[in-house]
Amino acid sequence: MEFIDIVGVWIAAILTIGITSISFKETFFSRWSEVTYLAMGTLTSIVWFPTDLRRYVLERVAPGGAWIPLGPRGGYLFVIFAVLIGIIAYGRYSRKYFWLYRYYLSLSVGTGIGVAMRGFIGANFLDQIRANFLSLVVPGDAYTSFNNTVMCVVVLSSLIYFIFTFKAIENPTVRRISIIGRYFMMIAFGVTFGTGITTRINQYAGRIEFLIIEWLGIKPIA
Amino acid sequence: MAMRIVRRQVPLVLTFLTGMIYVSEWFVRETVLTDMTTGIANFIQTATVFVFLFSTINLTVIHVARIRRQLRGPKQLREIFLSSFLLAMIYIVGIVSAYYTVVRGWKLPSATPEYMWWYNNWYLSSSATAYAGTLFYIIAATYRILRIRSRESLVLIIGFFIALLYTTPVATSYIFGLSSLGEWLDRIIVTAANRAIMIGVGIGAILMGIRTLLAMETGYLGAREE
Amino acid sequence: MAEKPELKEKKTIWDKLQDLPVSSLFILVILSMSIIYVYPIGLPVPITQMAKDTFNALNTLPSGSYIWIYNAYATGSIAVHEPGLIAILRHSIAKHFKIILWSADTPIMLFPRVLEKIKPDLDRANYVYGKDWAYLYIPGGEPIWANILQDVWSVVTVDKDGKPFTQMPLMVDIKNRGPTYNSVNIVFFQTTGGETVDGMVRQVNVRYHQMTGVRLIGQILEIMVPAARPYYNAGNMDGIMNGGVGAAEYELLLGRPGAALKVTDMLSLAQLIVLAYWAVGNVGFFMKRYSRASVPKGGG
Repeated sequence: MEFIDIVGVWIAAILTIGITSISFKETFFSRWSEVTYLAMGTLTSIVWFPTDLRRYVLERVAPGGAWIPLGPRGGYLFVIFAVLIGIIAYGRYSRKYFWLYRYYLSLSVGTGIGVAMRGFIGANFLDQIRANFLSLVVPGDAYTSFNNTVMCVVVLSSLIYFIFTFKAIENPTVRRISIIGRYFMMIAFGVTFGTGITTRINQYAGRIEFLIIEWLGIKPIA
Repeated sequence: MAMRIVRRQVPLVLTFLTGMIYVSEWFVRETVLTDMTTGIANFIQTATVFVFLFSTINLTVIHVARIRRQLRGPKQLREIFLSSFLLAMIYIVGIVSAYYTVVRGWKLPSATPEYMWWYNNWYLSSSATAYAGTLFYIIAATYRILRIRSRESLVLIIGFFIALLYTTPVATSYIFGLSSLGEWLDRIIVTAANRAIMIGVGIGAILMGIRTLLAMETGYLGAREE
Repeated sequence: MAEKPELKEKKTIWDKLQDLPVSSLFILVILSMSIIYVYPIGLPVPITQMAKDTFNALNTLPSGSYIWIYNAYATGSIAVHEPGLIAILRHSIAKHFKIILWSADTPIMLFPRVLEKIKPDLDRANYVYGKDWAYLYIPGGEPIWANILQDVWSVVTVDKDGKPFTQMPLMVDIKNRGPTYNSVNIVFFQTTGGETVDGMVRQVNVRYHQMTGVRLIGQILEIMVPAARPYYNAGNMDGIMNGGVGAAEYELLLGRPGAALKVTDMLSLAQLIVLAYWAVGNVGFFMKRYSRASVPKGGG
């Protein structure tokens, strides 16, 4: 291993320990580690700028570049307008010229909404409702009948909790059903919380692996 | 009046038009609409190249303000040092690395050894630990806050307990039926509850989307000038 | 008249149980994970139906199928997503799939680590870059994914290193087969963001599944799986790789144990310690509630 690689491993280990120490106590060392992480995360956008400039601006007008509307001559206009919209977006830092930023924002927001909405109805409604059309009585299969019934009850009661949040106060039957829905949702949230711990342990295991193998050079006894 | 149209109405019309082009393309599937959606996506991709400095400018403004505050003891000196270090790292390492990507024939940063050393040893380790370090906050919260104080919290804790045991290989190996129970809980209760949440969220999202496209929601444009 | 002495509440054992220093919990978790990593026990890992479905989604496709892999994982989840990506790539190479990967900037920075591990598999299967597999740099979110599967050549015409598609037989072949979705049999994505899951379901499954039968599988963090389960249950997703645990299951099904499997022992011990501390806290809470430990009032 070269000297520069050894230095690199030590820096990585120091930063790992520094960031971990934030949970224990805030010290100068933990603050420095935090600041380093913030700086490195921010500078990636500067580092990638030349690559993005070449790929998505210069090569777009080059022969054989990615398709752009208005034909080969119109391509220059297209790219010039896009660059202009990108540059005037910096108006967000000025009170007087903030309105220039709205052009970039409106295109992004409109695109995002259009793209999301068109699939929402299929994925979040039709397919989910279709999947919940289950037979409550499956002949000869009590287990599946039970599961289907529980599933329908949970979905309906949870939906009633959401949709009738205000009206539930008036109608006692609806109120009772929405309380049942609330309990089922609490189980789901508990499961999510538990899996959150699993996620973080898995992620931290990677750091322990690095410290043991690469920094301390200890090989596991397999 | 003209300025009001340019500053507010034109962006709202742009939002509506781009949104409607995308929605129409889904249902109509005509080549001209597909070409328009491709054009819009490529246009935004090109424009986004130039907004790379947003995060850098935000951090610079905050930290220059910190540095300019009057000196008032060791704590302030510490903050000045850290802010200066942060800005120095961003600008020196960032600009030098960007320079190297260019002089090496406009290669990707991943093909630039100078930058990869910084990335792998400084950023990768700190970033991975920062994400993983939230483990300690979650387990501290589990110990201090997750108490059985009411029926709802009891139900939440039952879900939490089963989920945690179910993803523990040693528990599923030695506790009979835990694996089946956990899978049943995931497959039926969790799926059903999240399905209801998904439908509810979907209703809200579609309504908000329609309101935004029809200019009934304009919060994303920021405060009015007048 | 004598003054009444004030009520004093002693700090009992039950208060102390609720107030243990959390740093002791952190140190115990770190130490236990480290020790068990060096001295692994090798506990069995149960394989769930969801892991089997994820595996079969790939395994039941014929040789020569096209797999599109979208990696959107961040440096923070490298310990979880890297083993998953390696397992999927190994499986795809073993099945002789055509592999097209695409991502934004961060996963490209992390890919050399993955390439180092799968290089022997690529060499053994005589995989040639540009002919059997390719990696494209395409930043952008959902609007771009919609266009990629419609016509990838309209979005980008070079790979991540700037090599033109015209010099890559794989990409030329995709163009010759008509719209890109004709060359997509399965899409595998990796992400740490919930909006990617929703976006992939909308742009891949809802749009193309009925048309072409394209399959969709993904590796997401364990915490995101409950919210994604309705998609899996409704058939929008053919399988979900459940974070690091799912990657370990996939490695077992593939018969190629890797980094994910090594972590499962650490998971066991750490989670048991967390549960133990939680139980101790609750015992203290309940016992405190139902016992009295105040100093009695004095007489007049």
